[in-house]
Amino acid sequence: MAGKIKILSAEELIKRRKVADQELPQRSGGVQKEFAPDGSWLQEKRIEKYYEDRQDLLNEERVEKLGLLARAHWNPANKIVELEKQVKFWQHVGYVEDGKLLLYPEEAVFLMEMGNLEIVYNDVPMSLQQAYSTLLAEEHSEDKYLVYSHLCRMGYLVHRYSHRPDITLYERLIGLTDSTTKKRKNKQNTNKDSKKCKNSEEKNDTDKVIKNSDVQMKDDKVETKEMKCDAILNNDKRTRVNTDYNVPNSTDDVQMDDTPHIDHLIDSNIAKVQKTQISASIDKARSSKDTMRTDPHLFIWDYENIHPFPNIAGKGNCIEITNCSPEFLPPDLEFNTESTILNLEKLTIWPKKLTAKQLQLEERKKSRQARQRDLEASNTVLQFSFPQMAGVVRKSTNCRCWSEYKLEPKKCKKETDLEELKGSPGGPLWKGDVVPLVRPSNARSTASILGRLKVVENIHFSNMNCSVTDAPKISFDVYLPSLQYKKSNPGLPNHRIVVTRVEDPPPDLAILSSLHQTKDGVPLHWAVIDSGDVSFFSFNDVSLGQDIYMG
Amino acid sequence: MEDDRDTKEEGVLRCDPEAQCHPKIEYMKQFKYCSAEQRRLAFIVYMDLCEAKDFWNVGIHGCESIGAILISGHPMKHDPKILILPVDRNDELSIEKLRDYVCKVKVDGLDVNSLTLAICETDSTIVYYEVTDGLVVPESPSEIEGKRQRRTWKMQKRREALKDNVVYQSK
Amino acid sequence: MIEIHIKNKKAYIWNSKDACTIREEYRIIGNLVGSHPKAPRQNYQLHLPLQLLPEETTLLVEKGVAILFNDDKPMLPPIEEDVQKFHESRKRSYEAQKELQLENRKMEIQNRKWEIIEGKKAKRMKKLKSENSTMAEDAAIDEAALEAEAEREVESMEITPIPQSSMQVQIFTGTPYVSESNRPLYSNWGFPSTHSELLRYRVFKDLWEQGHFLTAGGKFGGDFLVYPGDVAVFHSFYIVKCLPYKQKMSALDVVAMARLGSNVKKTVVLCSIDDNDQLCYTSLKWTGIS
Repeated sequence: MAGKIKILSAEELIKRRKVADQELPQRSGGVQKEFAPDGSWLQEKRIEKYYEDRQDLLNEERVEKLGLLARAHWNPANKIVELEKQVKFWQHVGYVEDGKLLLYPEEAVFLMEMGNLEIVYNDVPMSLQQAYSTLLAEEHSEDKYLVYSHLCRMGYLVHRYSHRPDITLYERLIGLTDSTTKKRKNKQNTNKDSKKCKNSEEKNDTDKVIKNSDVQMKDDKVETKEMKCDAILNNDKRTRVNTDYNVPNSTDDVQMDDTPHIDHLIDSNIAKVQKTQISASIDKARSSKDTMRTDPHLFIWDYENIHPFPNIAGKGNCIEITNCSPEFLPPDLEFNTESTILNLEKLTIWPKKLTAKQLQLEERKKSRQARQRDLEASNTVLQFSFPQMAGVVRKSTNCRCWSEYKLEPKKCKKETDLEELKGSPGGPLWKGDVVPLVRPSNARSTASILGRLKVVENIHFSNMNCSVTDAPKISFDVYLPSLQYKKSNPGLPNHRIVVTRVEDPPPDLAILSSLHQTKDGVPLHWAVIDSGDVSFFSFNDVSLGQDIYMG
Repeated sequence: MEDDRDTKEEGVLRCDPEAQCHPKIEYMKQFKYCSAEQRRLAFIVYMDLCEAKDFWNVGIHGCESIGAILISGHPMKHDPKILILPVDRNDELSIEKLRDYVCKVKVDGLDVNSLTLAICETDSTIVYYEVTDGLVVPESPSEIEGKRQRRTWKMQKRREALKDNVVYQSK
Repeated sequence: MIEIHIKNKKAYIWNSKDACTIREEYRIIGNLVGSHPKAPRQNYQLHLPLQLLPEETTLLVEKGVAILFNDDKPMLPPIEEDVQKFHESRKRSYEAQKELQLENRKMEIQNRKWEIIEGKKAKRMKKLKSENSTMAEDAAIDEAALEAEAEREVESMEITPIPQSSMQVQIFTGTPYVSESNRPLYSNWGFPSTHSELLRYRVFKDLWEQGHFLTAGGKFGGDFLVYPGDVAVFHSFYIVKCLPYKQKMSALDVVAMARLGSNVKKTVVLCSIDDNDQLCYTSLKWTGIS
């Protein structure tokens, strides 16, 4: 019985090498299909020819040069496939654990099908059939493999799905996701790029922010004055932040009243005359923790915690900085907290360089703004995956990139909302035991007010518990093939895939919304398997307008 | 058929046909096993076939075995006669019912093995699907081509007629 | 006997002979799901394994032409003897390939002997000429002697045997060398078991027995696609949808199902089992009335 499996002799093996590139016979003989059998000789011949071609096709065997085959060992105890040494395909597949080069089962089987790998068990190579039953033993794993190999054969880079909760569509648009890889290539450009676009993105929020700060700042004596600072915020010199603050002059720790310098800065940097709001404003803004979670764009300034910015835009190369917080100075500078002489020439980024690129940046800004309008039209508000950051005073800035920054645990200031309400003109309302259900801060949308009043309860599909125990899950991240692709830091995938079978019920709304929850805008596709056939489907969202927005 | 044309221009389709006392409605009232809703549907389909689809020899029949009013007619002058069963879009059907309709339908002397469902939307859009017991081989490419030609010819004729009508009206 | 391997309730055929037989003799199509060895990076022409529908599997077993093997168990660890055997066979193959390669090389040299000799001669002449450029032209170079010398060189040419790393090895698709005892039969296939499975199977079997070719119909939104002849040569006639006899549907559902076939020139066939346990087919077709 085992005789049905063809074992090639040495002659055949050598012959195979020579007949390497034959044309594959065309499916259905390369001619249009016909309507119905009519018993004609021509049709009969056509079918006969097709069967012959098919036999040739199926009789083909995988033959490879031993030296070109990578070897991997099957470890049955841990159920892992261990590669002997790094080979060419290693840059796309596999992972390292305990210093071992390991392959996922689907990767190993696929490489075997591609004729790149020999999987050995006790030194004996597996057949593809054995690899199927040994490596793809889990239930439904062959369905997943079917989708995996289907996509890989088309040239995509397919990885197991890795959950990336920390990237939003907004962050992706401004290029924060792959900053690390880009920076290495084009440091200056990327930085200014992302900074600039950040500025434009947030510009629209400026008014809101200012309004909010006005509410909070009840001290009418304080005369706000615009002050512009060009400061280096990050310990790592690459990120420069362009600040544009409304800072009360009377606040003790603001020492600077250096108008000539500011004017000079305005002259040299025309773009800055525009009231751009920058990322630092978020850093310095404050809001209660729970409002932040639901509404990422309601910032309230924390004036107590705004540190004095050193004015480093002086005319000379050396300026004296007094009483300045160390976090605004480059890390490798020596200074004492009282007073420091700063030699600007030593700084890597010199303000004037910026002016040279203003025009270019302006252009970019325009396109960004257009993009941003689209974004707002689609009802996507400025969303950071890390909402707390807006309400946090940055303590340490030892991060090298955005994702690291976000991972740093941050503490939010305690809610003092109620206290402030009591001091407001409508304060008496909040003084008794019975207080209004709705607070001014709730006036964000109809839904939130109705939610507070409990008139109409909002249903959040995301919070609904899926009753189905084996609800479909996202299986694969799909990347377009690219030279820049890095296994260790692949960035956001181009597509995500859920694998389902044709006999499964279609997903209900709860499952759908829980899978579509990610805010990064990566399209999700449903691969439906019908006995070896794979078809891809996707669900698209339709968004309708909102009745009330920001009261 | 002439009088039908007149009533349509008065907007019968949008009004309640029962109130209009259209002769065909009156005629349908003799089928005691049918409801007013069935009469309404049958009337809409009847009008559609007469006025919009240019059927030949459109007739109304009652069929007690399936308790419904059926419409008969020739799609084109030389086509065989077909039987049409009006149903509402929300009517409940099943394979059993469909088969019952096809197998049990009996209209004076007409022997058919297939039935055309006229599925009526609320806005009086009607789609026609043919239901047949057993397997029906799809039309061959040549048949499809023939049908397509006849259809374009028909459309052309209809368009011309419409143009004449407009010219006549404007005079 | 056709060998069908069941793994996770899915049926695969792992050898090309059976894959051809079932198509040509039993009109069973299945679905190729593996990559093609010669052109692995495309989805147009695929290769073994051939995955079968459960209906196809049951039908082949019922007709008594196929046996089911259990492929659920992972590969058994090869014992010392197997390892020995494998190494020996690979070594044998290498030796044979080395010999063949040597012969091939020799043949090649023989066939192109004169080209090589000419080449060698020309090289030698050039060298001599450059050495003796100052010397008189009359010192005619002895062509015949050169030629003989070149020929001698060719004859005695050393052919280096191929290293082991460039020997050709076969990556097996199906598993070779398996003793009968290591191939457990699959006993609890159990398809069809539910009502809907039974309906599907009866429809499949009936249409197959009528002489049609059937494939899975997910592509067109039905249960099966029915072809009048081989799938590769003909378009399908019917999109088959299996439904319980009394299952309620609205008229709009009928439109939706009939619509599946209307643009692709196919008839939609609703299949069910009536009260007398008879299979019944109801065809739905767009009339073209518009």
